[in-house]
Amino acid sequence: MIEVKDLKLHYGDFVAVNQLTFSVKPGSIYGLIGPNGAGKTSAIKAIATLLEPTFGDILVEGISALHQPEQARGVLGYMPDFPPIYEDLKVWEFCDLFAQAYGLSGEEKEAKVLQSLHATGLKEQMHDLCKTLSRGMRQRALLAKTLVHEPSVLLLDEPAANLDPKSRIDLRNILKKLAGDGKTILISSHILSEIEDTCDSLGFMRDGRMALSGTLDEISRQKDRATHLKIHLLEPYPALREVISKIPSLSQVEETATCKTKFRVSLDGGEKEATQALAKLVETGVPVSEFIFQKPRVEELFLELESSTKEREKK
Amino acid sequence: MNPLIRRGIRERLRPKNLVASGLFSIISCATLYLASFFDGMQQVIPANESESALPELISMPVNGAREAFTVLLVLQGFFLMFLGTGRVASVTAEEKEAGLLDYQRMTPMNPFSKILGYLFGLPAREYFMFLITLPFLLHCMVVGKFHCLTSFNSTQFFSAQSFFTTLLPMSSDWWCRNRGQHHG
Repeated sequence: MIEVKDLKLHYGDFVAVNQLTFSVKPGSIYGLIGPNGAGKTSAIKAIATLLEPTFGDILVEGISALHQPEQARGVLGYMPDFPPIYEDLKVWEFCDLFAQAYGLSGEEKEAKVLQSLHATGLKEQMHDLCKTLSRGMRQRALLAKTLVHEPSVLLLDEPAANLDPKSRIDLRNILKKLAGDGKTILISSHILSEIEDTCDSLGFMRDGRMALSGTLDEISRQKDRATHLKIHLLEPYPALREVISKIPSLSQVEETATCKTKFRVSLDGGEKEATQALAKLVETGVPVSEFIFQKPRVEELFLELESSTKEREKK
Repeated sequence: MNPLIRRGIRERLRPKNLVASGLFSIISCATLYLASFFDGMQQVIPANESESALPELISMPVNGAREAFTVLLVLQGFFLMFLGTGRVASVTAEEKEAGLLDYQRMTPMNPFSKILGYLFGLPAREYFMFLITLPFLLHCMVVGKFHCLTSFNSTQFFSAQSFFTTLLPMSSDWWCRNRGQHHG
């Protein structure tokens, strides 16, 4: 569990993070999104106890990262952006170094090193020198090093930057598995599709502040943004608009093709309301062949937020 | 063993490194040792003024060993104070720049272990080269009939000097970092 309360962080006169408040539940993946200089890395570094905040508090598994940094570091695993690596060490030696540094020894240490290499799919490369690894493999080696002392909280700054699609998919699967094991994961990224696919909830940062935070649905609602349903019919159904008008959560029917079988309908609500609407449509006899709940896209939300901020700045 | 020292050994003392640095150390040490030993050994005894004898060239291994001893101390100083210190200074600066020191900061190792690890781990190869010079030094001490305390003091002086010289770049780096933090 991560709890950040009113976090403020200055670099001299410059305010990098301002009144940042959010929390990440155990077993979930939280994504921080924002333009360059939004304060994502500074916030992550402060949570990792590497930067001392000017104000506010950070609780990691109930431990104050400000007042008990030594204890907090024991439950934290941190992977920086542009992650450096000890080039002349073998992959297992790299993990072994940190296993020892975290006080592990003997068989327990060996088991943990093998476990972390296995979790990141690096068992075959464990005897390779780090300098011979590809970018994706290096990221994995760093993740293995981060996991070696079994931290319950993972802080990953741009973990998928410069990775090829395959490595990105692998990383996503690894992270989902870790979250499934109960770890709390905080990710910052510029890759919106990655955040969308990986994270359970997200936060949009802008100028050091949290502009929006929550699950995609929650953020959509905060932005008063309608969710849409894609309804395809087996054959034209003339009374469709009439049926839809009787379902309170549905409105604004748009035909998306001339064949009169493809529609886009605005939905007031989330997946629960969508399920109820589908049941009603089927009950009425509408020949529904496809019914797609169109979740709001992170990219759209991000662009909306950016444009609204720019408009506000202009005013 | 301190994990950072172990890291230094693993990184810097792989078999191919051992062979290369060992050969370099043996060759440079043997060359300097033999050159200075033979040079110091040749001593001209001036002719006795009362007799009309010619100056005599005699062999004095004691003198040779004593001269070689000094040369070896300089070589050891070069390995530890020049190469070793350079290594610690450059790697510490590189790691700080790259963010590798952040990894160390996140571990629960105490600062003293970290200092020891960096001091003795990073220049592991230089310490190995230094060790190779020791048998030559021992030979000098035996042949040169050094008083144990004298040779021990000289070696100790150089070792201490090397240690503190190595400490200097690290402490200056930390000092600068702390100063930077306090001044924002």
